[in-house]
Amino acid sequence: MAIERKDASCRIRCIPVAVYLILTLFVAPTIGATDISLTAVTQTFGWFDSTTTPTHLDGSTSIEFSGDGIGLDVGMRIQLPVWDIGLATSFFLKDTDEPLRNMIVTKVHSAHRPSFGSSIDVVGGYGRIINIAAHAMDVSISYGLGIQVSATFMPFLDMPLINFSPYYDLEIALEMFDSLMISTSIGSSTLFEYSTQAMSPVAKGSIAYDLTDAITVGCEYSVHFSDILPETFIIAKQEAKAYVVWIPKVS
Amino acid sequence: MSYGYRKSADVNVRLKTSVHQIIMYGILLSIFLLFSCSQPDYSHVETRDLSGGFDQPIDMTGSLESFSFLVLNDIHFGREDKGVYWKFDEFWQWLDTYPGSIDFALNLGDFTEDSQEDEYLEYADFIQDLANRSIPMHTVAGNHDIRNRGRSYFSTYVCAAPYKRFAHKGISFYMIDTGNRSLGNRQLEELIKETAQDTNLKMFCSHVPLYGSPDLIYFALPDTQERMMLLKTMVDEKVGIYFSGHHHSGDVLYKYTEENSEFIFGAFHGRDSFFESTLPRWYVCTYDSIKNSLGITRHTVQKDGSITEVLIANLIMP
Repeated sequence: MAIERKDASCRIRCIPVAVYLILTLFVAPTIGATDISLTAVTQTFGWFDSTTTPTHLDGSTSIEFSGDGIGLDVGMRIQLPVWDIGLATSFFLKDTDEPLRNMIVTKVHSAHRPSFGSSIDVVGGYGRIINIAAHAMDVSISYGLGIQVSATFMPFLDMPLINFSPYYDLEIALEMFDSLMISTSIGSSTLFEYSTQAMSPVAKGSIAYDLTDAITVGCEYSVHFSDILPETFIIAKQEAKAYVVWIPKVS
Repeated sequence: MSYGYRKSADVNVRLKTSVHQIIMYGILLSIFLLFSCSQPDYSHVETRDLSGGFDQPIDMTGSLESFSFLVLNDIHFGREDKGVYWKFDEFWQWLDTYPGSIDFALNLGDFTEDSQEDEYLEYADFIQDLANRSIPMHTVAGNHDIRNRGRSYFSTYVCAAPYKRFAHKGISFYMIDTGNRSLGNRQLEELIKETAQDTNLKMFCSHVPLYGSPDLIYFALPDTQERMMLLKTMVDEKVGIYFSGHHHSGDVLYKYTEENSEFIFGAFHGRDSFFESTLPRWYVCTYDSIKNSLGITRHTVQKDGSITEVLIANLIMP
Protein backbone atom coordinates (compact mmCIF):
# COMPACT_ATOMS: atom_id res chain seq x y z
CA MET A 1 0.00 0.00 0.00
CA ALA A 2 2.83 2.39 0.89
CA ILE A 3 4.46 1.79 -2.48
CA GLU A 4 1.18 2.39 -4.28
CA ARG A 5 0.73 5.66 -2.44
CA LYS A 6 4.26 6.75 -3.28
CA ASP A 7 3.60 6.03 -6.95
CA ALA A 8 0.34 7.89 -6.82
CA SER A 9 2.05 10.79 -5.11
CA CYS A 10 4.59 10.92 -7.93
CA ARG A 11 1.75 11.01 -10.42
CA ILE A 12 0.19 13.94 -8.57
CA ARG A 13 3.48 15.85 -8.57
CA CYS A 14 3.78 15.27 -12.31
CA ILE A 15 0.44 16.90 -13.03
CA PRO A 16 1.56 20.55 -12.68
CA VAL A 17 4.59 19.77 -14.83
CA ALA A 18 2.29 18.23 -17.42
CA VAL A 19 0.06 21.27 -17.35
CA TYR A 20 3.05 23.57 -17.78
CA LEU A 21 4.10 21.53 -20.78
CA ILE A 22 0.62 21.54 -22.26
CA LEU A 23 0.36 25.28 -21.79
CA THR A 24 3.76 25.83 -23.29
CA LEU A 25 3.04 23.57 -26.22
CA PHE A 26 -0.31 25.24 -26.73
CA VAL A 27 0.67 28.83 -26.16
CA ALA A 28 4.00 28.92 -27.95
CA PRO A 29 2.75 27.67 -31.33
CA THR A 30 -0.27 29.94 -31.09
CA ILE A 31 1.93 32.95 -30.55
CA GLY A 32 4.42 31.82 -33.15
CA ALA A 33 1.91 30.95 -35.81
CA THR A 34 -0.06 34.15 -35.74
CA ASP A 35 0.79 37.82 -35.66
CA ILE A 36 -0.13 37.83 -32.02
CA SER A 37 1.48 40.44 -29.81
CA LEU A 38 1.83 41.24 -26.16
CA THR A 39 -0.85 43.68 -25.09
CA ALA A 40 -0.67 43.78 -21.31
CA VAL A 41 1.10 42.43 -18.27
CA THR A 42 -0.83 42.49 -15.02
CA GLN A 43 0.62 42.08 -11.56
CA THR A 44 -1.72 41.77 -8.60
CA PHE A 45 -1.13 41.86 -4.87
CA GLY A 46 -3.94 41.09 -2.52
CA TRP A 47 -5.54 39.45 0.41
CA PHE A 48 -7.94 36.56 0.57
CA ASP A 49 -9.98 34.72 3.14
CA SER A 50 -11.78 31.43 2.60
CA THR A 51 -13.51 28.63 4.42
CA THR A 52 -10.46 26.45 3.91
CA THR A 53 -7.67 29.00 4.39
CA PRO A 54 -7.65 31.80 6.97
CA THR A 55 -6.76 35.31 5.91
CA HIS A 56 -3.62 35.31 3.79
CA LEU A 57 -1.77 37.37 1.21
CA ASP A 58 -1.59 36.36 -2.40
CA GLY A 59 -0.27 37.52 -5.74
CA SER A 60 -0.60 36.75 -9.41
CA THR A 61 0.95 37.60 -12.73
CA SER A 62 -0.87 37.36 -16.00
CA ILE A 63 0.08 38.22 -19.55
CA GLU A 64 -2.33 39.15 -22.30
CA PHE A 65 -1.71 38.62 -25.98
CA SER A 66 -3.94 39.55 -28.84
CA GLY A 67 -3.87 39.30 -32.57
CA ASP A 68 -6.10 39.03 -35.54
CA GLY A 69 -9.11 37.18 -34.26
CA ILE A 70 -7.55 35.82 -31.10
CA GLY A 71 -7.10 36.96 -27.54
CA LEU A 72 -5.11 35.04 -24.99
CA ASP A 73 -4.54 35.43 -21.27
CA VAL A 74 -2.10 33.25 -19.39
CA GLY A 75 -1.13 33.61 -15.77
CA MET A 76 -0.02 32.16 -12.50
CA ARG A 77 -1.33 32.81 -9.02
CA ILE A 78 0.24 31.97 -5.70
CA GLN A 79 -2.45 31.73 -3.07
CA LEU A 80 -0.81 29.44 -0.56
CA PRO A 81 -1.27 26.60 -0.04
CA VAL A 82 -2.58 26.57 -3.61
CA TRP A 83 -0.65 27.28 -6.80
CA ASP A 84 -2.80 28.12 -9.81
CA ILE A 85 -1.99 28.25 -13.50
CA GLY A 86 -4.63 29.62 -15.83
CA LEU A 87 -4.99 29.99 -19.56
CA ALA A 88 -7.95 31.54 -21.32
CA THR A 89 -8.45 32.21 -24.99
CA SER A 90 -11.04 33.99 -27.07
CA PHE A 91 -11.22 32.98 -30.72
CA PHE A 92 -13.27 35.61 -32.49
CA LEU A 93 -15.50 34.33 -35.25
CA LYS A 94 -14.72 35.90 -38.60
CA ASP A 95 -18.26 36.71 -39.62
CA THR A 96 -18.64 39.27 -36.86
CA ASP A 97 -17.03 42.61 -36.28
CA GLU A 98 -17.32 45.58 -33.96
CA PRO A 99 -19.43 46.49 -32.11
CA LEU A 100 -20.71 42.93 -31.72
CA ARG A 101 -18.34 40.02 -31.85
CA ASN A 102 -18.98 36.36 -31.32
CA MET A 103 -16.26 34.14 -29.99
CA ILE A 104 -15.31 30.69 -28.84
CA VAL A 105 -14.01 30.75 -25.31
CA THR A 106 -11.63 28.10 -23.99
CA LYS A 107 -10.04 27.94 -20.57
CA VAL A 108 -7.62 25.60 -18.85
CA HIS A 109 -6.81 25.84 -15.18
CA SER A 110 -4.62 23.77 -12.92
CA ALA A 111 -4.42 24.10 -9.16
CA HIS A 112 -1.75 22.31 -7.21
CA ARG A 113 -2.16 21.75 -3.49
CA PRO A 114 1.06 20.15 -2.20
CA SER A 115 -0.53 18.45 0.83
CA PHE A 116 -3.61 17.20 -0.94
CA GLY A 117 -3.26 16.81 -4.68
CA SER A 118 -4.07 18.66 -7.87
CA SER A 119 -7.05 19.62 -9.94
CA ILE A 120 -7.57 20.56 -13.56
CA ASP A 121 -10.53 22.47 -15.01
CA VAL A 122 -11.26 22.79 -18.72
CA VAL A 123 -13.92 25.08 -20.17
CA GLY A 124 -15.29 25.36 -23.66
CA GLY A 125 -18.01 27.83 -24.52
CA TYR A 126 -19.55 30.35 -26.82
CA GLY A 127 -19.34 34.02 -25.97
CA ARG A 128 -20.40 37.37 -27.27
CA ILE A 129 -19.04 40.84 -26.63
CA ILE A 130 -20.86 44.05 -27.44
CA ASN A 131 -19.10 47.41 -27.42
CA ILE A 132 -21.07 50.62 -27.45
CA ALA A 133 -19.46 54.03 -27.48
CA ALA A 134 -21.37 57.05 -26.20
CA HIS A 135 -20.29 60.65 -25.71
CA ALA A 136 -18.24 60.24 -22.58
CA MET A 137 -18.59 56.55 -21.91
CA ASP A 138 -17.84 53.27 -23.60
CA VAL A 139 -19.86 50.28 -22.54
CA SER A 140 -18.77 46.72 -23.00
CA ILE A 141 -21.07 43.82 -22.28
CA SER A 142 -19.91 40.25 -22.62
CA TYR A 143 -21.47 36.97 -21.81
CA GLY A 144 -20.77 33.32 -22.39
CA LEU A 145 -22.22 29.88 -21.98
CA GLY A 146 -20.59 26.50 -22.18
CA ILE A 147 -19.46 23.45 -20.31
CA GLN A 148 -16.80 22.83 -17.69
CA VAL A 149 -15.05 19.58 -16.92
CA SER A 150 -13.08 19.29 -13.71
CA ALA A 151 -10.80 16.54 -12.50
CA THR A 152 -9.39 16.19 -9.01
CA PHE A 153 -6.34 14.02 -8.40
CA MET A 154 -5.37 12.84 -4.94
CA PRO A 155 -2.53 10.42 -4.06
CA PHE A 156 -4.80 7.82 -2.49
CA LEU A 157 -7.41 7.80 -5.26
CA ASP A 158 -6.99 5.28 -8.03
CA MET A 159 -9.22 7.34 -10.30
CA PRO A 160 -9.61 11.13 -10.40
CA LEU A 161 -12.92 12.64 -9.34
CA ILE A 162 -14.57 13.99 -12.48
CA ASN A 163 -17.23 16.70 -12.48
CA PHE A 164 -19.24 18.16 -15.34
CA SER A 165 -20.95 21.48 -14.87
CA PRO A 166 -22.23 24.40 -16.90
CA TYR A 167 -20.01 27.39 -17.63
CA TYR A 168 -21.58 30.83 -17.58
CA ASP A 169 -20.27 34.37 -17.44
CA LEU A 170 -21.66 37.88 -17.62
CA GLU A 171 -19.55 41.02 -17.47
CA ILE A 172 -20.39 44.68 -17.81
CA ALA A 173 -17.60 47.24 -18.12
CA LEU A 174 -17.88 51.00 -18.34
CA GLU A 175 -15.02 53.20 -19.54
CA MET A 176 -15.38 56.86 -18.76
CA PHE A 177 -13.35 59.97 -19.54
CA ASP A 178 -10.91 57.77 -21.50
CA SER A 179 -9.14 56.83 -18.30
CA LEU A 180 -11.52 55.35 -15.75
CA MET A 181 -12.93 51.87 -16.03
CA ILE A 182 -15.51 50.22 -13.79
CA SER A 183 -16.53 46.64 -14.29
CA THR A 184 -18.65 44.02 -12.61
CA SER A 185 -19.11 40.38 -13.43
CA ILE A 186 -20.65 37.15 -12.27
CA GLY A 187 -19.77 33.73 -13.56
CA SER A 188 -18.89 30.16 -12.83
CA SER A 189 -15.15 30.81 -13.04
CA THR A 190 -12.40 33.36 -13.54
CA LEU A 191 -8.86 32.85 -14.79
CA PHE A 192 -7.85 31.24 -11.47
CA GLU A 193 -11.05 30.69 -9.53
CA TYR A 194 -13.08 27.57 -10.18
CA SER A 195 -15.35 25.23 -8.31
CA THR A 196 -16.40 21.71 -9.07
CA GLN A 197 -20.06 22.67 -9.10
CA ALA A 198 -21.14 25.61 -11.25
CA MET A 199 -23.95 26.77 -8.99
CA SER A 200 -21.46 28.53 -6.76
CA PRO A 201 -20.76 31.70 -8.70
CA VAL A 202 -17.90 34.15 -8.43
CA ALA A 203 -18.96 37.80 -8.41
CA LYS A 204 -16.48 40.61 -8.69
CA GLY A 205 -16.23 44.32 -9.18
CA SER A 206 -13.22 46.38 -10.11
CA ILE A 207 -12.21 49.94 -10.75
CA ALA A 208 -9.15 50.95 -12.74
CA TYR A 209 -7.50 54.21 -13.73
CA ASP A 210 -5.08 54.86 -16.57
CA LEU A 211 -2.15 56.70 -15.01
CA THR A 212 -0.41 56.95 -18.35
CA ASP A 213 -0.80 55.34 -21.75
CA ALA A 214 1.35 52.49 -20.52
CA ILE A 215 0.35 52.09 -16.88
CA THR A 216 -3.04 51.36 -15.39
CA VAL A 217 -3.70 50.84 -11.72
CA GLY A 218 -6.78 49.37 -10.16
CA CYS A 219 -8.37 47.41 -7.40
CA GLU A 220 -10.77 44.52 -7.36
CA TYR A 221 -13.01 42.79 -4.86
CA SER A 222 -14.49 39.38 -5.49
CA VAL A 223 -16.56 36.86 -3.59
CA HIS A 224 -17.08 33.20 -4.26
CA PHE A 225 -20.47 32.06 -3.03
CA SER A 226 -21.15 28.55 -1.75
CA ASP A 227 -24.51 28.42 -3.51
CA ILE A 228 -26.44 30.36 -6.10
CA LEU A 229 -29.56 30.66 -3.93
CA PRO A 230 -29.53 33.82 -1.80
CA GLU A 231 -31.36 32.14 1.07
CA THR A 232 -28.70 29.50 1.64
CA PHE A 233 -25.32 30.72 0.48
CA ILE A 234 -22.36 31.71 2.58
CA ILE A 235 -19.30 33.43 1.24
CA ALA A 236 -16.84 30.62 0.66
CA LYS A 237 -14.05 32.97 -0.34
CA GLN A 238 -13.45 36.68 -0.60
CA GLU A 239 -10.53 38.45 -2.21
CA ALA A 240 -9.39 42.05 -2.35
CA LYS A 241 -6.50 43.00 -4.56
CA ALA A 242 -4.70 45.91 -6.11
CA TYR A 243 -3.14 45.62 -9.51
CA VAL A 244 -0.85 47.31 -11.95
CA VAL A 245 -1.15 46.79 -15.69
CA TRP A 246 1.67 47.57 -18.06
CA ILE A 247 0.50 48.12 -21.61
CA PRO A 248 3.38 48.06 -24.09
CA LYS A 249 3.34 50.40 -27.04
CA VAL A 250 2.12 48.76 -30.20
CA SER A 251 4.25 49.68 -33.17
CA MET B 1 -14.38 37.23 -20.15
CA SER B 2 -12.98 38.48 -23.45
CA TYR B 3 -9.53 37.26 -22.59
CA GLY B 4 -6.67 39.18 -24.02
CA TYR B 5 -9.08 41.36 -25.93
CA ARG B 6 -8.65 45.09 -25.62
CA LYS B 7 -10.97 47.22 -27.62
CA SER B 8 -9.25 48.74 -30.66
CA ALA B 9 -8.92 52.49 -30.65
CA ASP B 10 -10.70 53.00 -33.91
CA VAL B 11 -14.00 51.72 -32.59
CA ASN B 12 -16.24 54.65 -32.94
CA VAL B 13 -19.77 53.43 -33.01
CA ARG B 14 -21.88 56.43 -32.28
CA LEU B 15 -25.46 55.86 -31.51
CA LYS B 16 -27.99 58.33 -30.34
CA THR B 17 -27.50 59.25 -26.70
CA SER B 18 -31.07 58.38 -25.87
CA VAL B 19 -30.52 54.81 -27.06
CA HIS B 20 -27.47 54.50 -24.83
CA GLN B 21 -29.33 55.85 -21.89
CA ILE B 22 -32.14 53.38 -22.43
CA ILE B 23 -29.66 50.50 -22.63
CA MET B 24 -27.81 51.67 -19.55
CA TYR B 25 -30.96 52.21 -17.55
CA GLY B 26 -32.20 48.82 -18.74
CA ILE B 27 -29.04 47.08 -17.54
CA LEU B 28 -29.08 48.84 -14.19
CA LEU B 29 -32.78 48.14 -13.75
CA SER B 30 -32.26 44.46 -14.61
CA ILE B 31 -29.48 44.15 -12.05
CA PHE B 32 -31.61 45.89 -9.45
CA LEU B 33 -34.59 43.64 -10.15
CA LEU B 34 -32.41 40.54 -10.15
CA PHE B 35 -31.17 41.22 -6.66
CA SER B 36 -34.34 42.73 -5.23
CA CYS B 37 -37.06 40.34 -6.38
CA SER B 38 -35.93 37.40 -4.25
CA GLN B 39 -36.10 39.51 -1.05
CA PRO B 40 -33.96 37.13 1.00
CA ASP B 41 -33.49 37.48 4.70
CA TYR B 42 -29.76 38.12 4.84
CA SER B 43 -29.64 38.00 8.62
CA HIS B 44 -28.51 34.40 8.53
CA VAL B 45 -25.89 34.77 5.81
CA GLU B 46 -22.58 34.06 7.41
CA THR B 47 -19.35 35.15 5.85
CA ARG B 48 -17.18 32.60 7.58
CA ASP B 49 -18.63 29.98 9.80
CA LEU B 50 -21.21 28.45 12.07
CA SER B 51 -20.79 28.14 15.79
CA GLY B 52 -21.12 24.69 17.22
CA GLY B 53 -18.61 22.08 18.23
CA PHE B 54 -17.47 18.51 17.75
CA ASP B 55 -16.08 18.49 21.28
CA GLN B 56 -18.83 16.46 22.93
CA PRO B 57 -17.20 13.86 25.20
CA ILE B 58 -17.34 10.42 23.65
CA ASP B 59 -16.28 6.98 24.74
CA MET B 60 -13.13 5.98 22.87
CA THR B 61 -12.35 2.94 25.01
CA GLY B 62 -15.30 0.72 24.17
CA SER B 63 -14.93 -2.20 21.81
CA LEU B 64 -16.94 -2.38 18.62
CA GLU B 65 -20.33 -4.09 18.78
CA SER B 66 -22.80 -4.95 16.05
CA PHE B 67 -25.92 -2.79 15.81
CA SER B 68 -28.46 -1.34 13.38
CA PHE B 69 -29.72 2.18 12.85
CA LEU B 70 -32.35 3.81 10.71
CA VAL B 71 -31.49 6.44 8.09
CA LEU B 72 -33.94 8.77 6.41
CA ASN B 73 -33.71 12.15 4.75
CA ASP B 74 -35.53 14.69 2.59
CA ILE B 75 -38.89 14.31 4.30
CA HIS B 76 -39.82 17.88 3.26
CA PHE B 77 -42.74 18.51 5.61
CA GLY B 78 -44.91 21.15 3.99
CA ARG B 79 -43.91 20.41 0.42
CA GLU B 80 -46.75 21.05 -2.02
CA ASP B 81 -45.04 20.38 -5.33
CA LYS B 82 -46.90 18.33 -7.85
CA GLY B 83 -46.74 14.59 -7.35
CA VAL B 84 -45.15 14.64 -3.88
CA TYR B 85 -46.58 12.14 -1.41
CA TRP B 86 -45.68 10.43 1.86
CA LYS B 87 -46.37 7.00 3.29
CA PHE B 88 -46.22 7.73 7.00
CA ASP B 89 -48.74 5.05 8.01
CA GLU B 90 -46.78 2.39 6.17
CA PHE B 91 -43.57 3.66 7.74
CA TRP B 92 -44.88 3.49 11.34
CA GLN B 93 -46.47 0.11 10.72
CA TRP B 94 -43.21 -1.18 9.28
CA LEU B 95 -41.24 0.21 12.22
CA ASP B 96 -43.62 -1.29 14.79
CA THR B 97 -43.26 -4.73 13.22
CA TYR B 98 -39.55 -4.56 12.35
CA PRO B 99 -38.04 -7.81 13.58
CA GLY B 100 -34.62 -6.44 14.47
CA SER B 101 -33.45 -3.87 16.94
CA ILE B 102 -32.91 -0.27 15.85
CA ASP B 103 -30.66 1.64 18.24
CA PHE B 104 -31.19 5.16 16.84
CA ALA B 105 -32.13 7.08 13.72
CA LEU B 106 -30.23 9.52 11.53
CA ASN B 107 -31.93 12.25 9.55
CA LEU B 108 -29.72 13.71 6.84
CA GLY B 109 -31.61 16.97 6.42
CA ASP B 110 -34.29 18.74 4.42
CA PHE B 111 -37.03 17.67 6.80
CA THR B 112 -38.84 20.94 6.02
CA GLU B 113 -39.69 22.49 2.70
CA ASP B 114 -39.18 26.14 3.54
CA SER B 115 -37.90 26.32 7.14
CA GLN B 116 -41.33 27.41 8.41
CA GLU B 117 -42.16 27.01 12.09
CA ASP B 118 -45.19 24.78 11.44
CA GLU B 119 -42.96 22.50 9.36
CA TYR B 120 -40.44 22.35 12.21
CA LEU B 121 -43.28 21.52 14.60
CA GLU B 122 -44.37 18.66 12.36
CA TYR B 123 -40.82 17.36 12.39
CA ALA B 124 -40.64 17.75 16.19
CA ASP B 125 -43.74 15.54 16.41
CA PHE B 126 -42.04 13.02 14.13
CA ILE B 127 -38.99 12.95 16.42
CA GLN B 128 -41.30 12.48 19.41
CA ASP B 129 -43.08 9.57 17.72
CA LEU B 130 -39.70 7.91 17.24
CA ALA B 131 -38.70 8.70 20.83
CA ASN B 132 -41.92 7.06 22.02
CA ARG B 133 -40.60 3.92 20.35
CA SER B 134 -37.27 4.33 22.16
CA ILE B 135 -35.48 5.44 19.01
CA PRO B 136 -33.56 8.69 19.49
CA MET B 137 -33.13 10.80 16.36
CA HIS B 138 -29.94 12.62 15.38
CA THR B 139 -30.45 15.29 12.74
CA VAL B 140 -28.41 17.53 10.46
CA ALA B 141 -29.90 20.54 8.71
CA GLY B 142 -30.32 20.64 4.95
CA ASN B 143 -30.47 23.62 2.64
CA HIS B 144 -34.27 23.73 2.95
CA ASP B 145 -34.04 23.88 6.76
CA ILE B 146 -31.89 27.00 7.14
CA ARG B 147 -33.90 29.57 5.21
CA ASN B 148 -35.10 32.69 6.97
CA ARG B 149 -35.34 31.78 10.69
CA GLY B 150 -34.56 28.12 10.05
CA ARG B 151 -31.40 27.94 12.14
CA SER B 152 -33.22 29.46 15.08
CA TYR B 153 -36.02 26.90 14.77
CA PHE B 154 -33.43 24.15 14.41
CA SER B 155 -31.85 25.04 17.75
CA THR B 156 -35.28 25.35 19.37
CA TYR B 157 -37.04 22.25 18.07
CA VAL B 158 -34.30 19.89 16.92
CA CYS B 159 -30.87 20.37 18.46
CA ALA B 160 -29.12 23.26 20.14
CA ALA B 161 -25.93 22.79 18.12
CA PRO B 162 -25.94 22.88 14.31
CA TYR B 163 -23.19 20.25 14.25
CA LYS B 164 -22.09 17.71 16.81
CA ARG B 165 -20.79 14.19 17.34
CA PHE B 166 -21.83 11.19 19.33
CA ALA B 167 -20.45 7.69 19.78
CA HIS B 168 -22.36 4.45 19.80
CA LYS B 169 -20.92 0.99 20.45
CA GLY B 170 -17.43 2.02 19.41
CA ILE B 171 -18.29 4.12 16.36
CA SER B 172 -18.23 7.93 16.30
CA PHE B 173 -20.87 9.69 14.22
CA TYR B 174 -20.05 13.24 13.11
CA MET B 175 -23.19 15.20 12.26
CA ILE B 176 -21.91 17.78 9.77
CA ASP B 177 -23.87 20.90 8.84
CA THR B 178 -23.66 21.41 5.08
CA GLY B 179 -26.89 23.37 4.71
CA ASN B 180 -24.95 26.21 3.10
CA ARG B 181 -23.20 23.78 0.72
CA SER B 182 -20.05 24.40 2.71
CA LEU B 183 -18.90 23.58 6.23
CA GLY B 184 -17.53 27.02 6.86
CA ASN B 185 -14.15 27.69 8.32
CA ARG B 186 -14.74 26.92 11.98
CA GLN B 187 -16.68 23.70 11.46
CA LEU B 188 -14.07 22.39 9.03
CA GLU B 189 -11.21 23.21 11.39
CA GLU B 190 -12.97 21.61 14.34
CA LEU B 191 -13.86 18.53 12.34
CA ILE B 192 -10.24 17.98 11.30
CA LYS B 193 -8.97 18.65 14.82
CA GLU B 194 -11.46 16.43 16.65
CA THR B 195 -11.31 13.51 14.23
CA ALA B 196 -7.52 13.48 14.60
CA GLN B 197 -7.94 12.94 18.34
CA ASP B 198 -10.76 10.41 18.05
CA THR B 199 -9.46 6.85 17.80
CA ASN B 200 -12.85 5.29 17.05
CA LEU B 201 -14.07 4.14 13.69
CA LYS B 202 -15.99 7.13 12.31
CA MET B 203 -18.88 7.94 10.02
CA PHE B 204 -19.65 11.38 8.58
CA CYS B 205 -23.32 12.34 8.27
CA SER B 206 -24.16 15.31 6.05
CA HIS B 207 -26.95 16.63 3.91
CA VAL B 208 -24.99 17.67 0.82
CA PRO B 209 -22.97 14.92 -0.88
CA LEU B 210 -19.19 15.09 -0.99
CA TYR B 211 -18.86 13.90 -4.58
CA GLY B 212 -21.22 11.09 -5.53
CA SER B 213 -20.68 10.82 -9.24
CA PRO B 214 -19.70 13.01 -12.23
CA ASP B 215 -23.29 13.78 -13.15
CA LEU B 216 -24.24 15.38 -9.83
CA ILE B 217 -24.09 18.81 -11.44
CA TYR B 218 -25.63 20.72 -8.57
CA PHE B 219 -25.86 18.25 -5.75
CA ALA B 220 -22.40 18.13 -4.17
CA LEU B 221 -20.03 20.36 -2.21
CA PRO B 222 -18.60 22.86 -4.71
CA ASP B 223 -15.29 23.85 -3.12
CA THR B 224 -12.48 21.68 -4.46
CA GLN B 225 -10.14 22.46 -1.58
CA GLU B 226 -12.82 21.74 1.02
CA ARG B 227 -13.60 18.43 -0.66
CA MET B 228 -9.91 17.51 -0.70
CA MET B 229 -9.55 18.31 3.00
CA LEU B 230 -12.59 16.20 3.87
CA LEU B 231 -11.39 13.30 1.76
CA LYS B 232 -7.92 13.39 3.29
CA THR B 233 -9.51 13.44 6.74
CA MET B 234 -11.62 10.44 5.82
CA VAL B 235 -8.63 8.42 4.67
CA ASP B 236 -6.24 9.50 7.43
CA GLU B 237 -8.65 9.32 10.36
CA LYS B 238 -10.58 6.04 9.89
CA VAL B 239 -13.75 7.56 8.50
CA GLY B 240 -15.37 4.61 6.80
CA ILE B 241 -18.26 6.34 5.13
CA TYR B 242 -19.75 9.71 4.26
CA PHE B 243 -23.56 9.56 4.40
CA SER B 244 -25.57 12.20 2.57
CA GLY B 245 -28.95 13.01 1.06
CA HIS B 246 -30.05 16.06 -0.98
CA HIS B 247 -30.14 14.15 -4.25
CA HIS B 248 -33.65 12.73 -4.07
CA SER B 249 -33.09 9.90 -6.54
CA GLY B 250 -30.27 8.76 -4.30
CA ASP B 251 -28.82 5.25 -4.04
CA VAL B 252 -25.46 6.51 -5.28
CA LEU B 253 -22.42 4.64 -3.96
CA TYR B 254 -18.88 5.81 -4.60
CA LYS B 255 -15.83 4.02 -3.25
CA TYR B 256 -12.89 6.39 -2.78
CA THR B 257 -10.76 3.52 -1.54
CA GLU B 258 -11.52 -0.03 -0.46
CA GLU B 259 -12.28 1.25 3.03
CA ASN B 260 -13.62 4.76 2.44
CA SER B 261 -16.92 5.26 0.68
CA GLU B 262 -19.77 7.66 0.16
CA PHE B 263 -23.43 6.73 0.00
CA ILE B 264 -26.23 9.09 -1.03
CA PHE B 265 -29.63 8.10 0.35
CA GLY B 266 -32.86 8.64 -1.57
CA ALA B 267 -35.72 10.84 -0.37
CA PHE B 268 -38.16 9.68 2.30
CA HIS B 269 -41.07 11.11 0.36
CA GLY B 270 -42.15 9.78 -2.99
CA ARG B 271 -42.82 11.81 -6.09
CA ASP B 272 -44.61 11.01 -9.26
CA SER B 273 -43.91 13.83 -11.66
CA PHE B 274 -42.09 14.68 -14.85
CA PHE B 275 -39.12 16.06 -12.91
CA GLU B 276 -38.78 13.35 -10.33
CA SER B 277 -40.09 9.81 -10.16
CA THR B 278 -39.22 8.19 -6.86
CA LEU B 279 -40.90 5.89 -4.38
CA PRO B 280 -40.92 6.57 -0.61
CA ARG B 281 -37.83 5.03 0.97
CA TRP B 282 -35.90 4.65 4.17
CA TYR B 283 -32.85 2.61 5.04
CA VAL B 284 -31.49 0.39 7.76
CA CYS B 285 -27.72 0.30 8.19
CA THR B 286 -26.20 -2.59 10.08
CA TYR B 287 -22.67 -2.60 11.39
CA ASP B 288 -21.19 -6.09 11.71
CA SER B 289 -18.36 -5.98 14.24
CA ILE B 290 -17.07 -9.43 13.30
CA LYS B 291 -16.66 -8.63 9.61
CA ASN B 292 -16.05 -4.92 10.30
CA SER B 293 -18.53 -4.11 7.54
CA LEU B 294 -21.55 -1.91 7.08
CA GLY B 295 -24.63 -3.19 5.28
CA ILE B 296 -27.12 -0.72 3.81
CA THR B 297 -30.63 -2.05 3.24
CA ARG B 298 -33.29 -0.04 1.41
CA HIS B 299 -36.97 -0.33 2.29
CA THR B 300 -39.26 0.98 -0.44
CA VAL B 301 -43.02 1.46 -0.41
CA GLN B 302 -44.24 0.20 -3.77
CA LYS B 303 -47.27 1.53 -5.62
CA ASP B 304 -49.42 -1.32 -4.28
CA GLY B 305 -48.49 -0.45 -0.70
CA SER B 306 -46.14 -3.37 -0.17
CA ILE B 307 -42.70 -2.69 1.23
CA THR B 308 -39.72 -4.27 -0.48
CA GLU B 309 -36.31 -4.79 1.09
CA VAL B 310 -33.08 -4.72 -0.90
CA LEU B 311 -29.48 -4.91 0.30
CA ILE B 312 -27.87 -2.01 -1.54
CA ALA B 313 -24.29 -2.27 -0.32
CA ASN B 314 -22.01 -4.10 2.03
CA LEU B 315 -18.95 -2.01 2.72
CA ILE B 316 -15.70 -2.84 4.44
CA MET B 317 -14.79 -0.32 7.13
CA PRO B 318 -11.24 0.80 8.00
